[in-house]
Amino acid sequence: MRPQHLLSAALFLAQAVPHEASQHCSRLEYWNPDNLCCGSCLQRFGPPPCPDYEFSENCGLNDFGDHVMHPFKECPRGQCNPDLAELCSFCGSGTRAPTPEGSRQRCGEKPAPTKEPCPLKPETPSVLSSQETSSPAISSPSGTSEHTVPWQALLTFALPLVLVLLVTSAAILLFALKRHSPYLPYPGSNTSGGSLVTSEAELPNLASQPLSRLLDELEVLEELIVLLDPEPGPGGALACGTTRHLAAKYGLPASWSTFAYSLRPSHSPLRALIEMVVAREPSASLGQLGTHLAQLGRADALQVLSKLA
Amino acid sequence: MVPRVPPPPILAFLLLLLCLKSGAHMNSGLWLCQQAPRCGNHMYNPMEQCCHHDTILSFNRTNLCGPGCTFWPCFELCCPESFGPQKRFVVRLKVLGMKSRCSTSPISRVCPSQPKCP
Repeated sequence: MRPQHLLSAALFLAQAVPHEASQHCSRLEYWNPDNLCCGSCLQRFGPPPCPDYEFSENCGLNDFGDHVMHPFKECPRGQCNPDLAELCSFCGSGTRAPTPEGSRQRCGEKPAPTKEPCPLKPETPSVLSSQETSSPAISSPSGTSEHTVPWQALLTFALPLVLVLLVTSAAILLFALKRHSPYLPYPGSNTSGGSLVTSEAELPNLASQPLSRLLDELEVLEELIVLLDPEPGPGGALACGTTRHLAAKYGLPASWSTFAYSLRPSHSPLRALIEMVVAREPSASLGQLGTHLAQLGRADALQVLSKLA
Repeated sequence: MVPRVPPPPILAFLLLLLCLKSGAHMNSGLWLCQQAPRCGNHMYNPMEQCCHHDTILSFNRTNLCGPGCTFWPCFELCCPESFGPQKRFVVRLKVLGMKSRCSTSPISRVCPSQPKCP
């Protein structure tokens, strides 16, 4: 074999296998660079969803936690995996390849997730659900969190209860005052007649339409993006009535808004917000969005939204 | 016999001790104890960090999702689509307040199959 062929073969192999094996963990584990331990691929991704597939080397993760390859790959020629094991074995032999020995630095054990439906089978989801993680906690901790309520906390029940009652009373009082006082328009907004639309009753058609419709009406969505996404002026994030504030109206934390704005210019924060709300609450309506826009004093955006009424 | 109420400074001190003993963290702005969420065996600050596969990450942490793009593990999911003729990596938005899954989360972007040339 000529040296040129050998060199070509070596280069081809190098391109075909860009992922280097972990420096710390065995084949069926991945390195967790934050906790400095080896996590189990099975515990993170569950068993292979489809027969005749097995885990890739370190389930496709490098030692920095990056997904550099797909977690699953087809069995090598001559090998099968009908039992959805972690690794393939020789077809028909009945013998399984020896499981690589685990590393010493193992992360905490936890039960493996259940097998996902195979996307290759008919009438199955086309997306592999390879991740089930918790989102940043807003008002309640994630599913991976553990709650312990020591009995001593009950002794401090009186003080928080009093504070909650005071805050609730103040909120009720403010709400009552707000309903009876004239609404102040947002500076620079286009208010006709000096008053804004403040209730769903004035845009009845919007209340019956789902918020997801906005994702299909691209022209209206683009106009809203132009109006709501920018944060003009030296204040930047201190500007009022932007997508950031709209996200707060929908109960999303400031950290999420900061993340959404960091996606610009490739991705619109408003679009991400609408997608998020639709995914979380499929029953959300355009009327609800209209109400939030009115409360923010954005009559210009409300006027655009009214095109869908 | 009427029980004697401890004076306010001592009462505040006792409340502080109870908060510390209960494993709660003190809100620096308000003297109001809250149960700190846990990630694995550690507590974390939900205003600055998130829990991702029993690992505490800061909000600005990014990782690669395939060779072509990055994602924010605190706010997004990296969903490798390993089956079928077209293998690809898809970044999806985490739905806050719910346990997010690749099969139900909205798409944020589809990662290019090849990394961009510098």
